Amino acid sequence: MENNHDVSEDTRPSSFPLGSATAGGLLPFVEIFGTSLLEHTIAQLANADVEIITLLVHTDAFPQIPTLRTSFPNISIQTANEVWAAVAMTLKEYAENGIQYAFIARPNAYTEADLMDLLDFNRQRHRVMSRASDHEGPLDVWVVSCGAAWQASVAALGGVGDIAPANTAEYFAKEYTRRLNHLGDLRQLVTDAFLARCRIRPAGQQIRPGVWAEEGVGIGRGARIVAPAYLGRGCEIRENTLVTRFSNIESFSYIDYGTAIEDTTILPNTYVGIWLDVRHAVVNGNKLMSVKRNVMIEISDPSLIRSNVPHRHDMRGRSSVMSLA
Amino acid sequence: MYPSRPVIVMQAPASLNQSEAEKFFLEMKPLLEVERPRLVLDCSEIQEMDSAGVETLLRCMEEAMKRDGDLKLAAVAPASAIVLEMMRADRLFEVFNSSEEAVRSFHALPAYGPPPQDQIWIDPAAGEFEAAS
Repeated sequence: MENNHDVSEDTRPSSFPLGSATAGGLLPFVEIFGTSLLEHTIAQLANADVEIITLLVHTDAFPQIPTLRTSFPNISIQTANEVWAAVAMTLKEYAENGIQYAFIARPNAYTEADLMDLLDFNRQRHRVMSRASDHEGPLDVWVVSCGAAWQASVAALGGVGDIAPANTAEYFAKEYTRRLNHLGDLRQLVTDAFLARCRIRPAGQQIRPGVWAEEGVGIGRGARIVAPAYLGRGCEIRENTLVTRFSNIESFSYIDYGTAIEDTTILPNTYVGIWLDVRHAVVNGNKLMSVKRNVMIEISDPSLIRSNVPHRHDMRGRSSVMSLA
Repeated sequence: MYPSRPVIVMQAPASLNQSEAEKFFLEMKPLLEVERPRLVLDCSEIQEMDSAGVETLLRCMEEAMKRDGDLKLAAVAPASAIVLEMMRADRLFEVFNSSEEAVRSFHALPAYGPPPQDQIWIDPAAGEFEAAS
């Protein structure tokens, strides 16, 4: 690369008002189509040929970092209690190492903004930083001049967002963007991905047109999978079930006999009981968020929904993450 | 004559789960074991309902229907509605926004009785329309 395009990201648990419907309340860590939204964001950055990716994670969120399925070169993970202070220090390190520019992205939205275009935009305007926005307003995606941004953010004793507006420019992103404020947004992102409105695609093989299945999927006799649908790694779809209308069953989940899943995301390691109807919802363990009613409920009856032996998957995730750190 | 019983409105408990369901059914039982029971269950205070709770509601409705009566639900909170939907029981009950609406619905038509003289109805044996004489 002509310039060093380096990236730092931050993830703060308090930033995501998702309650307990997600694994730990962190939507970026939620898996869709077998890959976490965090990894989808990292892939966007890697595809823009950035040279270093620094993942800055709040200390409380660190244990919940999902497994990265793809091996990204030059990625490091750092924990911090004050993430913006860590961003400033990272920018300082970058500047000291001769890195001119960095992208900063918070994964509270999924965006396909053209990062190289954002960089060119900033350079042409000779600003300390430029922030991407779309028709709904600013996005948490910036490109910054490392040295100047570090000094400015330290002087402001705050985050990059506190840099004086005179030194910033707003860049309008024309590409696909989906803000991830609540689980309804997650459902919309899944639907958009099934409809090829964005670049996210289901992993695995198409076993029939519009039906993707990953390795280790078990489908019982009489089960009906209506496209578009996605079945994640190690899923078990029991006899006479129905999975239909833009549903995604994520890894190691279990849909028991006779149950119908419609327009629903079943997050990893979730058991859904016998002969149920689950529609327009996101289910994670024993928590169900009804998108239609905008209500989240926790169900204590394990015969309906429950967490499905999470330890095997979690342990594997931890070891991978530790080796990355 | 087909005398109609008064409609009884019952308040459902906060928990309608495995441990409370049987107790609730025993409370309901005397109200169900009459001729043509007409019951409205106000569900506004239900905070927790599980599969045992839904099964108990179905059992109550079955008992009411055995005696030509009915059990209707009122003020079902979203969380309970989701559980009813999930267990495919929502379509088996008449559900109303309030107890008053549910009570009124019992008066809209007789719980049981012959059709009015001038009503056209289907004779199941003939399989075609005819006017009742």
